[in-house]
Amino acid sequence: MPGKILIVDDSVENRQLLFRTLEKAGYEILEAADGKEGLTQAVKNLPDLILLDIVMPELDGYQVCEALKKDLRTAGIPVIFLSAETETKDKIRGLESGGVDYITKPIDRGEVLARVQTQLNIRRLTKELIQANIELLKKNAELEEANAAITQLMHTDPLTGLANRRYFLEILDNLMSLARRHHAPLSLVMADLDHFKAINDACGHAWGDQVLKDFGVLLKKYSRKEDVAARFGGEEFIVALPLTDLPGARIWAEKIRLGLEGMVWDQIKSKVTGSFGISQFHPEDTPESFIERADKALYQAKAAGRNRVMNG
Amino acid sequence: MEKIVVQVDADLEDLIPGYLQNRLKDAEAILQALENQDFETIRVLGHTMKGTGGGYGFDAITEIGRALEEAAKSRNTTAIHQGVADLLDYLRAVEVVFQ
Repeated sequence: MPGKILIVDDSVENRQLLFRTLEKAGYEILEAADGKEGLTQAVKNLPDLILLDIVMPELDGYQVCEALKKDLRTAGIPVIFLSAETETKDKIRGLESGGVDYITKPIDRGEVLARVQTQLNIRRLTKELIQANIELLKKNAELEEANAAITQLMHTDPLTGLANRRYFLEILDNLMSLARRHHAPLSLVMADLDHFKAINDACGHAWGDQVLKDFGVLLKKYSRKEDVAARFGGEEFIVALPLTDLPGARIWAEKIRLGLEGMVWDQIKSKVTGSFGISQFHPEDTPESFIERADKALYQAKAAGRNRVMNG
Repeated sequence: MEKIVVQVDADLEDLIPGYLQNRLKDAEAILQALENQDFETIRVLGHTMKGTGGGYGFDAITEIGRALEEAAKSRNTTAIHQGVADLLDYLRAVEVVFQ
């Protein structure tokens, strides 16, 4: 489809000539006899191109063009000036006020057709470009979402929603760097659910999973924004507590221990308890040595009778 | 009088009589305006003639229009009379061939 063209010219003979010229080429033509009507028509009908006379009563072509460009609805419509003003300064003024081309009168009918076609092509290509960009932006957003989802999957334990072991170790590295650099305290709490295998055997894995999930919720509940809780192994959990020293970590671990002790599940007759080992960061620690200290303390807690917190 | 043959696009055929008739009216209007020392009206008529003439196929009308516009700007009564005379001569002599 060739397109819709609006002619704005106060001379009926000019309009007639343009009408005949363009209509033959298959364009749909709209006409306006002055600037005000031209603006109204442009907003109402949103033509693909506007042919604009300059010397008109009340509103001249420059003013009409500037008004068209100021209105977001019509700003994108290409404007070709048609004028008997042939001096270069007039052409410059036309182009500077937003026109894409300037054709002098008396017109050469073939030239008008050619220039009109060129501008319509440009407009069509511009629209396609904008559309393609919009699609690209959408696709990018989708990709980013997908990436985020994948990253989430890579970092998360699917059952509890806590960080997984791999991701925890990544973060621990950073936390240790920070603690080292700022001489700030950092502690680890390692937790292991007591007699978990027995629970699984007695009540089934569905219930075992539920206990794990609920323990995860408990950890998150007591964690601050800066704390990092992770599922470290089957029934083993680990939490990094930045800006927390050993006594602080102990208090925190006790809260968890008591919280777990107080939890009840339908099909699980006995209490479920947990053993906890804690350690505080030393500047010369490696991640292995830091974790090992908490792990050893956890082992001691088990050996000493379970359901308790031991300092490492 | 010698005829001036002008070729005009065939699809404009039905518009030509009216166009030439309007130029005759322009000539009358210009003479009337002269009597009233209304140079502005003459300038606008000349300007419009300048803009449309060649488009329809009448380059001479564009030229006459240009001359009238300039004459009106400088309030040159003599030149205006000449322009009107040229226009009338042209309208009498022109013969249109459609292609």
